[in-house]
Amino acid sequence: MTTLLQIKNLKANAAGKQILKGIDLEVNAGEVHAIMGPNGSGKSTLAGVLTGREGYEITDGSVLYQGKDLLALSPEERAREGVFLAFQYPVEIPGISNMFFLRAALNAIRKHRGQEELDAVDFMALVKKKLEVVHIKEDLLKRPVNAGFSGGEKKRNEIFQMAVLEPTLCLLDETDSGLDIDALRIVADGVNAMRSPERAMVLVTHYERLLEYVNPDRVHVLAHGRIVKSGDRELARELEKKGYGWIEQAAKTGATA
Amino acid sequence: MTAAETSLARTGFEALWAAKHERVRGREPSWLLQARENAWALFAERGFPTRADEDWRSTNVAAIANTAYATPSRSLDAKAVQAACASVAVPGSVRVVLVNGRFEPSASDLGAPQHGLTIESLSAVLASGPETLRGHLASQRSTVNAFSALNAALFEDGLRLRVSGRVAIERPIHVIHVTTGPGAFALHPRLVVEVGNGCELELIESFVGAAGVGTAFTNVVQDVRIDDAATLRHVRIVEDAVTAQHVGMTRAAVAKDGRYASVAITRGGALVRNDLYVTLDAPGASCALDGLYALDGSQHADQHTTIEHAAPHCSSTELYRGIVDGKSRGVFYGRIIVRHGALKTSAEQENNNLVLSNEALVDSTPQLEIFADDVQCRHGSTIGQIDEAQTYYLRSRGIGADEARRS
Repeated sequence: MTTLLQIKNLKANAAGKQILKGIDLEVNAGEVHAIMGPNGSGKSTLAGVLTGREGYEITDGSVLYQGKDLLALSPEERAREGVFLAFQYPVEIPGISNMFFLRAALNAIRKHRGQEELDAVDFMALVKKKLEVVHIKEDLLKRPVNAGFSGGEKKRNEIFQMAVLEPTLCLLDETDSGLDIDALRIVADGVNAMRSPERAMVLVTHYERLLEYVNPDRVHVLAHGRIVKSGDRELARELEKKGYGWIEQAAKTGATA
Repeated sequence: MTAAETSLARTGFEALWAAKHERVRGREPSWLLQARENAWALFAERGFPTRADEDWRSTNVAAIANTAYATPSRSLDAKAVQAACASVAVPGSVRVVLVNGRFEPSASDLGAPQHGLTIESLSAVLASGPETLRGHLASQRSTVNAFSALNAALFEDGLRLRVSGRVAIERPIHVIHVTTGPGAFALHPRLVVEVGNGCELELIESFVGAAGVGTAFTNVVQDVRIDDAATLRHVRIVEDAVTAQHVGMTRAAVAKDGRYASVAITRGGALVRNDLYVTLDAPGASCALDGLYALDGSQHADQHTTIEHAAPHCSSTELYRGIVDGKSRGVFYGRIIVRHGALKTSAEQENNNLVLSNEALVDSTPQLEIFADDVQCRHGSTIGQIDEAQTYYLRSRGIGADEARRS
C-alpha cells in the first residue's frame, strides 16, 4: 500500500501558543481516517497546517505527502498536487460566481498536471454529472461563491467542489457540524462516492454520527495537541457512549494508548 | 495649475488651430468654419479645466495641458497597425480601422454591404455632402467642455455610421482606433452614429496603441442618435498604451421607446477621462450603462456619466465596477437628473469598487437630482478590500495568490 500522508512529530503554534504538540499520523491510499476530539484539541489547526493557512508557526516535525515536503509548498501548490480541504466555515466571495470560481480552480489543477484546460462547454458537461451526487441545483452555480447559501448548502458546495476537483487527499474539517440528518446523508453519500483505492480521506469531526454513514478504516482521538488513542470504528462508538472525558484524563496524565 | 501655465499650454494648440484654420478656410462650408471658430473661441476662453473646476475635481489634466503636441504622423507602419488590430479582433465583426484618427481603408474589412447600413469616413462625407452633418456639427450639442470644444475646432476625420429602414444589423461593427508613431501627438476623431426608427446596431470600439507608440493624446467625441424604437449596443474598450492620454465625450440622445446599452471598459492608458451623457428624450426610452475599470501602476481613469430623464416613463440602469491596484486611481461620478414632469421614472445606479493595494484610490460620487414626483430612483456605491480569508479560500482551491487577489 502506498503511503500518501506521513506526519511525524508535528508541532505548531498559533499566536505564540503551542497547539499541536507532536502529531504522528500515517494515511495510506485507499483509506479513510477519522480524527475526533473535543473542542480546542487542535483538530482545525491540523487541517489548517496541512493546507497552508497563514497564522501558524511550525516549530518541529515534518509532513510528507506523496514523498514530498508538503509544508514547503504554497496553499495553491498543495491544491494543485491534489490536497483538498472542505472548510468548516466556507468563505463567502461575493462578486465571483461559483461556476467561474470552480472552473478557474479546475483549470489551475489541470494545467499543473499538464492537461488541457476545459472550456465552458466541457466544464458544464462535467459539472452536471457531479451536481447529481450532492443534490445541488444548477442555479446555485450562477450565484456568487457561498454568498447567501444556507449552512447546509455551503457544506454541500464543499463536497461538490471536491467531486469536481477529484483530489488525492481529502481533508474534511467538521463538514458534518450544523447539518440536519438529510444534509448529513447527502454529504456522507458524496464522501462514499469518492472513496477509491488511489484516494485517501481524513475526516475531522467532533461527533460520531457522520461515521455511522461513512465507515472509517481508522479512528484517532486528538486531545491537547496529540493523538492520544487510535483504533477502529469501535473506538468512535465508545467515545459516543463515554464522551471524551476519560481520554482527556488519560492525555493529561501523559499516558498514550 | 496656475493661470500662466494654462495659457502657456494653450499656445501649443494655438499653432495647431492656426494651421487648421488655414487649411479648412474656403474648403469647408461656412457654417462648419463658423462652428469651428465658435468652438475654438470657447476653448480659448475656458482653457483646460483645473481642479478648481467641480467637474474635474478628481482629475488633473496638467499632463495634457503641459505637453506640446504635434499633429499625428501620416506615414503608416502597416505591420504594427495590423498587429495592434489583431490583438483586439472581434470575430465575425465588420472591421473599420482609424489610424491616428483617420479612416484607413487598407486596414479595414468592411465585407459585403449590409442592407440599411452605411459606413462612411467623416472626411468623405464632408467632401461629398457636408449638409447632412450640419445637424450634428453645427448644433454644438456635444461641445460641453474644453476638450469637446477642442475636438469640434480641430477634428480631421472620423466616421459616420447610419442605419435606416427598420433593419437589425446582424454583424457587429468593430471600430478600431489605432495610434502609432513616435513623440507626443494629439488626435481628435469624431464619430456620428444614427440608428433610425426601429433599427438595431451593435457598435464596438477599441482604442489601442501600436507597438512603439509615443505619447498619444486621443480626444474623441461621439454623437449618438437613437430614433423611435431603435436600439444601439455600444461597447467602448480603452486598451491604449500605458503612455496614452485619452479623453472621450459620448453624447447619446434616445427617442421614444429607443434603447441605448453602453458597456465602457477601461484597462489601458495613463490618464483616461470618459464622459458619457445620455438623454432619455421621450416616453419609453431606456438606457443601460455598464462599466468596468481595471487599473494598475500609476494609471488614472475617470468615468463621468450623466443620465438625464427628460420625459415620463423612461428607465435607466447603471452598474460600474472598478478594480484598482498599484498606485492607480479610479474615479466614478454618476449623475442622474430627473427633469420636472418626468413622472414614472425608474433609475437604478450602482458603483462597486475593489481596492487591491494600500496606495490605490477610488473616488465614487453617485448623485441624484430629482425634480419630478412619483419616480423610483435608487443608487449606491461600495468600496471594498479583499480579505485574507477569501484569498486563502481561493488559494486552497489551486488558484494562485496573484490570481486570487485579482479574481
